[in-house]
Amino acid sequence: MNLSEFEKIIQANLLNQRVDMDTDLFMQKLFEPKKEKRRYVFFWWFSGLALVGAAVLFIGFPKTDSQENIPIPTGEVVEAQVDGKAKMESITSLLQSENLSETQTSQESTSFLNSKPSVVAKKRMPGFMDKASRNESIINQANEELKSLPVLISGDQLSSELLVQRGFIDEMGVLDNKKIEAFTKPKYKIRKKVECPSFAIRKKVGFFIQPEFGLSLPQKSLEQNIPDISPVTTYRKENEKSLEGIHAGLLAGCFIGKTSFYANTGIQYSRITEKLDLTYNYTRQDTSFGIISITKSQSGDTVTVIYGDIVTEKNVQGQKIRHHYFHTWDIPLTLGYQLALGSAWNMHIEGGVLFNFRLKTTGQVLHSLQDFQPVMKNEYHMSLGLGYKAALGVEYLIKPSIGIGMQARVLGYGKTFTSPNSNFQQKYIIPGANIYLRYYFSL
Amino acid sequence: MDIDRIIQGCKSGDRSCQEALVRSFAPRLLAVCRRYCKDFTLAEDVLQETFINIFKYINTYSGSGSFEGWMRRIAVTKSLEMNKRFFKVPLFSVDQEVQIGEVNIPDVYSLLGEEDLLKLIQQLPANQYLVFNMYIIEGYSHQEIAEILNIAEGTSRALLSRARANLVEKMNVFYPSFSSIAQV
Repeated sequence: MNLSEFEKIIQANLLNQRVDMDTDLFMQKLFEPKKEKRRYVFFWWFSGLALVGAAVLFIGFPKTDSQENIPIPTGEVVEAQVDGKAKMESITSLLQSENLSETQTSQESTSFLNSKPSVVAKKRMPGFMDKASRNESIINQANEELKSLPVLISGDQLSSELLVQRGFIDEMGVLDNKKIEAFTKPKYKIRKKVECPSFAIRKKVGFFIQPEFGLSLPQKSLEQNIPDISPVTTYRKENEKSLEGIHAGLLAGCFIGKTSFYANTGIQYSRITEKLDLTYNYTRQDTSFGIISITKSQSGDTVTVIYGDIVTEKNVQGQKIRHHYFHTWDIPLTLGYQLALGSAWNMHIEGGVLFNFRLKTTGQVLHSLQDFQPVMKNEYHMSLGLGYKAALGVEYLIKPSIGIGMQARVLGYGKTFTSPNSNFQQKYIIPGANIYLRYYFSL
Repeated sequence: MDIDRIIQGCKSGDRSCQEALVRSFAPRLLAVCRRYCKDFTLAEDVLQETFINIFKYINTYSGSGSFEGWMRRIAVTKSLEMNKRFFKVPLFSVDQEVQIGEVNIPDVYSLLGEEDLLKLIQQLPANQYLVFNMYIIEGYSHQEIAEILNIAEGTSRALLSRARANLVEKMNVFYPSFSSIAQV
C-alpha cells in the first residue's frame, strides 16, 4: 500500500480509539464542588484594615481649627508715627466747635490695620455737645482727621468710648492732647523676631535622619572547601561576574553631647547580582521506549511487534546567560565624626559593625557544565551574620537643617554566603558610593 | 437516551444528561487528550477541563456539524493549552518541504493495532508529531493548524512532509523489507 492509504488506516484506527477508564470515579471528581480559591486573603484583609485605620485616624482625630487658624505673628513692625500733634489740635478744635452736631454713633468695627476709624461721639457730651447742631461736613472732616491718626498693634479702636475710657477726653469733652500724643507715639519699636531668653536647664540633643541610595561593586572570593577541584566551581570562578549592586537605606543618628561625634544606626537593603555566561557543546543520549522491529509469521497471519529501548544521540551546543541574586538586610551600628568645612560644607567619617540578615538567594546557578538549575538550599541559605562598615562623606547644607551629600563606603561580610554543607565558600567585600539627604533636628 | 436529548438536557443543566454525555464520550476524548499529552495523569486533567468547558459552552453549539467533532476540538484546544504550559514544543519556522517519492509500505503495517500505530507515530519528533496528529488524524487543514499553533501555513506543510519522511524511514528500520524512494 502507499503512504496515503497507510495514513487512512492510521486515521481510521486512532480517530475512534477508546481508552478504558473508570468513568464513575471520573464523574465524581468532575462534579464535586470545587472550593473557590481565596487568593490573596491576607492581602485584602490587611489592605481593608489599613484603610479603616487610616480613616479612624483622620476622622477621629481631626486637626482642630484653633490649631490651624491661629494667626502666627508675622513680627512686622508697625512703627508709631511721630507727627500727630498737628492733627490732634485740628480734631480738638473740631470737637470743641459749636457747630458740631449731636450725632448718632455707629460704632463700626474696624479691623486694626486695614479699615478706618468711624465717627465718634456716642453720648451727649455736656458742654459743647448740647449746643452742637448736625453738620455732616464737619463730622466727615473729623473722620478724615481720625483716619490719619497713627494706631498701635494693641488693636484699640479710635472711638469716643476709647477716648473717654482712656481719659483722653474729660467730662467737658475736651481732648487731652498730651495724653493722646503719649498714646499714639510710643517710645519703643517692636522689632522682628523677638527672641525670648531660655532659662531651660535641659540641654538639647542633636539628631539627624538620613535616607540614602547608592551603587556598589561587589568583590567576590570563591574558594572550594574540598581538595578535589570541581570543574563547575572552576568554571564559575573563571567566568562568573559580579554586576553592580544596589543599596538603599534609612539611618538615624544622634550627636554625642555638644561634640561633633555621633552614633548612627538604621536599616539598609542591598542586592548583589551574579552573572554567568555559559557556552556548552556536548552529545546527549536520549532513550525512549518504542517499536524496534516488526516481524510477520511465515503464514502471514501473525504480526509480531517488538518493543525496546531506542537510544538516540544528539549533539547539543549553545549559549546561556543566567543570573542569581543575593538580598541582604543590614543594621549598622557606627560611630562617626563630623567636621564643618566653612559655613555650608561638612565632612564626616564613620565606622562600625554591621548586623546582616541574608534572605533567600534567587535565580539560577551552574549545576553542571551543560546547564543551570534554580538555587538550592544546600548551596545558599538564609542566615544571620556580622560584618563591618566604614564610610567617608562630604555634605553641602542647602539649609541649616538639611544637607545633601555623597559618601564612599565599604561593607565587609565576614560570613560566607554559602550553606554549611556546600563544598565551596563565597564571601564579599563591597565598596560603593551613595548619595544621601540629612535632616538635622534637636530635641 | 439519544444524543439530541442529551444535548438538550445538558443545555438546561440536567445532571443525568451530563452524566450520560460523560459515559458516552469520555473514553474517546481521553484517547484524544492522551495523544497530545505525554503524561497520562495530565491527559486525565485535560479531560476534566474539557468537559467543564463542554458544559460551559454547550449553549453555543448550534447543531450544525458533528457534536462529537465539536467536543474533539475543545479537547484538542485544551490539550494544546496544557502542553504549552508543561511541555514546550519547539515550533520554529521551517520552510523547506521534503519530497517523498513512491513508497510501497508492506501490508503488515495494516495489521498493527491501535496502540502499536500510536507508538509508531509517537516516535516522531514532537513538533512533527503534533502537526501529523492534527492533520492526518483530527483532519485539521494547514490553515487551521497554522492559526491554532500560531505558525505559518508553510511551516505546517513543511513539518508534515518531514513527519511523513521520518515515518517512512522508521518503518524501514522496523521492517526492512520494503522499498521506498525518499528524498530528504
